[in-house]
Amino acid sequence: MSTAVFEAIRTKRAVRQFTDQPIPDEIVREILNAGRLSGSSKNTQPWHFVAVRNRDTLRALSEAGTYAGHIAGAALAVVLVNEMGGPGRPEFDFGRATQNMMLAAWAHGIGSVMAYFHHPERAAEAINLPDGYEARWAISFGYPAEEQPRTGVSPRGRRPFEDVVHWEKW
Amino acid sequence: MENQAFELIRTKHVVREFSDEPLPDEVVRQILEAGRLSPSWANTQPWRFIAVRNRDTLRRIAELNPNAGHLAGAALGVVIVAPEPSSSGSPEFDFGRAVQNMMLTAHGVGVGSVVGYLKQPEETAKLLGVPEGHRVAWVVSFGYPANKQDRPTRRGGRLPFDEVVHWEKW
Repeated sequence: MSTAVFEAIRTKRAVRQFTDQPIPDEIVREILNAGRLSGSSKNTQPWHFVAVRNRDTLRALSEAGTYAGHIAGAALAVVLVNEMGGPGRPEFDFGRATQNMMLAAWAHGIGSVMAYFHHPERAAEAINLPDGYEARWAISFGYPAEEQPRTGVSPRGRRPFEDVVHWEKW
Repeated sequence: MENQAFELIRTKHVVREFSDEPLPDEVVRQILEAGRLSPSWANTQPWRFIAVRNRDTLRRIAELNPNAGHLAGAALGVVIVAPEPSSSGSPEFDFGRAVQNMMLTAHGVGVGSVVGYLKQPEETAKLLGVPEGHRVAWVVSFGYPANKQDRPTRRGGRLPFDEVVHWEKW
């Protein structure tokens, strides 16, 4: 028993190095719609997405996080913006929207990886965010380069099923 | 440009009322695998899942957390447990990603779902035998949709594309 979406979840890997090939407009739009259509707490949709393809802006964003360097070479970055003190639970809901966008992209052979902005003020400046809004995450998208860098910081693989799943009670 | 992942994202809607039909074991396992295989901050995998099918347990969790009342009639509840202190920089974000993977996988085989936030985490943890030092956070109800038309309790629909997406800068 298998479905395409489960296969995508099973086979998806973080991609940090991208080719120069741009992403066709209709796919960019599909990725953004996958985020826009996501479920959220009480349907608050606590997000704005800033879609960045301009190389200078991508470079500026890549300097807003310790491990955000991959943005500089991405074909597209989607910056996740929320209203400060706004409704809902943006952190959890951003996670849901992110996964939707990444899976929609992966189906077209487009890789992606998250970035966290340790310096959100630099990200805000790069994309002209008005007061009252913040950007702490972005997603880099692009066609995978043949050579992928080893990250070196994170252990690989996933914990085994029996280690993660408990039946009925702990 | 057919993309099964996007079609699932586009057509997914909240299901709060479930039929009595149990979920086949392989479906349950695939849903849990989709969560287990999810990406997370520095691959910290900051989650454990308690898979609950016992009707009495499901009802008791629903009674403790009235906003998760849908759990009482679910075929499967997956409680997200966070080992504390969290090793993740953004556990809530990572939970959102794992939950979305599970919900999309379920939708891919015709299984509906809805997320609930556990407002009585301590009592729920005690009920499930979760050891001290761990926290329960969210629960997802899964099941085949009841035949009657499922009606969201809140305003449905999503904000228009141009309201959510900004190009290049804010």
